[in-house]
Amino acid sequence: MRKTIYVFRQLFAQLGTGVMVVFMMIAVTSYNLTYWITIRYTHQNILFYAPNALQMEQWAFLNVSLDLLQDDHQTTLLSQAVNQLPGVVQMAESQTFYFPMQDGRVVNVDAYSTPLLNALGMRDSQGQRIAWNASVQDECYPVWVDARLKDVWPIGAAIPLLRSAHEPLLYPGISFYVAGHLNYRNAVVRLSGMQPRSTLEDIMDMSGDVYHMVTVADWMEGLMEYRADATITRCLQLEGPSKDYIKSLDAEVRSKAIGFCATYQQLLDRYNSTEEALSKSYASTIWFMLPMSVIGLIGLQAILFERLKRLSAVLNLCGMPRSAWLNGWILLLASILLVPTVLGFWAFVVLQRLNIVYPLTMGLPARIGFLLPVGMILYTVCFLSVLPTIWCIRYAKPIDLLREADQ
Amino acid sequence: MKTLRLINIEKTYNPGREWAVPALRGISYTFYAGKSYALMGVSGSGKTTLLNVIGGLDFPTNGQCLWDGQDMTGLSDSQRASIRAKQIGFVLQNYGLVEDLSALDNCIAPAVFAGDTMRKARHKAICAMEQMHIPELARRPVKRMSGGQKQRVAIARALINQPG
Repeated sequence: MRKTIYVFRQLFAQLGTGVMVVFMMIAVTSYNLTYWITIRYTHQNILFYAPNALQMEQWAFLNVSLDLLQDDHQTTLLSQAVNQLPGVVQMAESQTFYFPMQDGRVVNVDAYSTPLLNALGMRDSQGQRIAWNASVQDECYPVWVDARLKDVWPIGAAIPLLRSAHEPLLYPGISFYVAGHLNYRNAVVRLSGMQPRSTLEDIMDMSGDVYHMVTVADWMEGLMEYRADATITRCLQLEGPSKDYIKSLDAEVRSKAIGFCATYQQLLDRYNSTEEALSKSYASTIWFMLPMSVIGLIGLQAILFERLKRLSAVLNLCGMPRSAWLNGWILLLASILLVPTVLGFWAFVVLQRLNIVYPLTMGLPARIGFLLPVGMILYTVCFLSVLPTIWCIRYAKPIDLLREADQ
Repeated sequence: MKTLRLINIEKTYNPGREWAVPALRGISYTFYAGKSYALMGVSGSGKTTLLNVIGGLDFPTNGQCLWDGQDMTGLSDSQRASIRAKQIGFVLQNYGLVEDLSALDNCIAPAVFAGDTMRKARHKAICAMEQMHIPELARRPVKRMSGGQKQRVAIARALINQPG
């Protein structure tokens, strides 16, 4: 073992820190560079991102609420995300999109599906269907503008969605009513992730524009308490609207720097075009990286070969047994293999935490499926390229040193 | 007294071929420990070939090379490597050092391969370098040494296991 460690140490020293770093970088790059380049140069194309596109029907309902997120972790996270991606940002594990506004605020946009809204029914306390008149006029569905809950439900009215306390909430759309993010003790709580089978207790103590949601049971783990300070200030429903209408609405929203309105088809088109752009970017990246990696590896291998050949001969002259040589190599290769893997994983995790990778990878198995094989191929090339070197050096003999000296 | 005995050593390069080159023909001699020997000859006379055979770096075509009665030609690679580590010290004309490593790292190699612990090997290497009056060069990479200093390092490495 001592001999093995000694040989390993000499091999490592011989490779040199710089060479090792370069070598590892190539391997790490094969994992991450594609991601990085893609994110860096294509994110401008991403305006809309529909993670659960297949679950959505033929139109998108955009519930735009203006939430002032202040002094909380999510604001920080959003700020980071907004700074990194000056387009729309999708938060992890949600269907919410965030738009940076000109005045620094963040607007979130929730997407809901037709069946959900139909299921919600949106009835008032008298059981009348409200503000959801699915009448079609010139392909234009009615739009809610500045609809506030206080207009829908009188203060103190029972919530029509709630059958009674402790009964399951039938619909997951309660967040629709309480408008996204709720501030509670400087922590922002998002209710749209509420499970359909959640139970509500003493829900909603409404006074003015402030809605208090007292207790939610069986949501996530145990009892949780929330206080809702958010107000729906703007709800936009779009279903098959006319182009002119879309344009006017879009212009209006754009002029107020709120965000963009689009039908699902537009979202889908944008999504597909983004996909296409990303794929092209991947392809160009790969075509660039592959030959560069191969050329770099050949050069690196040539240098390594000469250095290691001499090392092998000298150590053999000094009495190095073959087993120590092979074990040292195995140890070295294991470390070469392990380090970039760990580094790559770490880098990926960091990128995810910074919300850089996540928006592009969430819900895109095809893209990941495209990336991983390429990464693995490059990584394998890196790894296998060392083997011929080992094979050649295996035959490096100390006698070469003597011949060299004799010359 | 330890001996190195050569019995009818023959070495032919490319044997059986038209361009076969006989380098050694029937060399028989006995070397005794503690004595100095000089091997002299014109270029191409087989000096290096003989040293290779003696050092266990090359096999003779015929004959035996007995290190203290033990035939080198019948040993495996590992066994010959072990003998090289314990009983032979090499000082090459071009020193045969690893340029990027320090003098100390170069010197401890034979001791490590002879089975010493790293601490003991390091101690022996320092002693050998003191013997050669170069202890201050221990941490210096060989590539930053003069020719004379390299030679001393090579000698220190050769002496570390007290060969012979």
